[in-house]
Amino acid sequence: MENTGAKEVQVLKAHLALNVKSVERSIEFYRKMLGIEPLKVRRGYAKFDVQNPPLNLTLNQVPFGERGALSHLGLQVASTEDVLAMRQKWGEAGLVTRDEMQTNCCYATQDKTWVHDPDGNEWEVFVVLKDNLPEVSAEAATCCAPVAVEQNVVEQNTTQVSSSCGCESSPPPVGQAACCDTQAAKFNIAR
Amino acid sequence: MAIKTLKAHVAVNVRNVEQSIEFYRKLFGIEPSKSRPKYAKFDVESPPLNLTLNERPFTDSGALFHLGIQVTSTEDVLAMRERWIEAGLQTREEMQIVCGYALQDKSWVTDPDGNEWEVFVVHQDNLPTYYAEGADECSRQEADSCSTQAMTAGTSCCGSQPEKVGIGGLKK
Repeated sequence: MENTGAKEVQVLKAHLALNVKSVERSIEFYRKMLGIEPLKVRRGYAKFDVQNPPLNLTLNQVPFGERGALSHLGLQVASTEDVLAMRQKWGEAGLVTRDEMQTNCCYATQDKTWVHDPDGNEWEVFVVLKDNLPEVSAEAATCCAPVAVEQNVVEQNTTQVSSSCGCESSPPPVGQAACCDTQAAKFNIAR
Repeated sequence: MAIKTLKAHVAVNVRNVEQSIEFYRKLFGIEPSKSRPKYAKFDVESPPLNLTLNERPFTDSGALFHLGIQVTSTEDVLAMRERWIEAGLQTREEMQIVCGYALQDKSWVTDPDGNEWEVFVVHQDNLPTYYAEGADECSRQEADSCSTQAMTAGTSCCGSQPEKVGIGGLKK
């Protein structure tokens, strides 16, 4: 598999998205802890683009579900080509991927694909095409994570729950209500 | 002083470490750098990330065990600790502690939602498995817990050992 001419993917940074109860309080803490200012602050959302060590840290003010403070994890790459190369690698390794291309979330336009680990933690490989988009609605702040996957589910049998917003870029599972107004509007589904 | 950090550290709780190793092997395309009963570490270079998998009961904080910043020397641990204290954060020290099958010096802070962050240096890695096998439950948990919270939460036999914190002449 290694000799199929697969592209070497240069990954920029690990990405860690935390759920927080109060983004202001958390900004205050992480400013002190990291010694830097947030790169992006929106209502209910902040991003620290840490150079030392390389880390893309985002804070998302959302109601905590059973899943606790870990929203999701990711690998930030430099191009859509690298997203697709990683997607290819993951697919060849037997992981089930879900794509979100040209999606607007976390106030940035991104291309990405997702996998989830055996405990339901979501990992994305993503490229940021356009960052620092203006604040359009509070809904955007809770995006950037697919609908929470129920823990302990078997791969390819992802029972999805509506406890968190599933981002406006993908529809909810068949038969389920939309998890936020944006998603409801976009896919013409009742909340 | 400028602190040169090595890597971010993410420690996740897992229900089954073998299943998770299988997944993360595929995700990163690398082998774990350390594998022990109920514990594994992926030392990822691209991107720089120290990821550990800890098979332990999930708490209210879900899959997130703790987070960290790995540095290269005890001096950098102390420099970061100093900076944190000056910024008004409350630190807790663990010096010369064995956890995650590694001998480390570290200092902890807790974010507003209770997530623990450590700044740490690894002095000796890949210590033998006897911390987990044959040892009593308390020693085993100490070896693989890597969290002051785990030790003080009262949920384990290690919970009554607050002297773990602040040793090494680092009491404020």
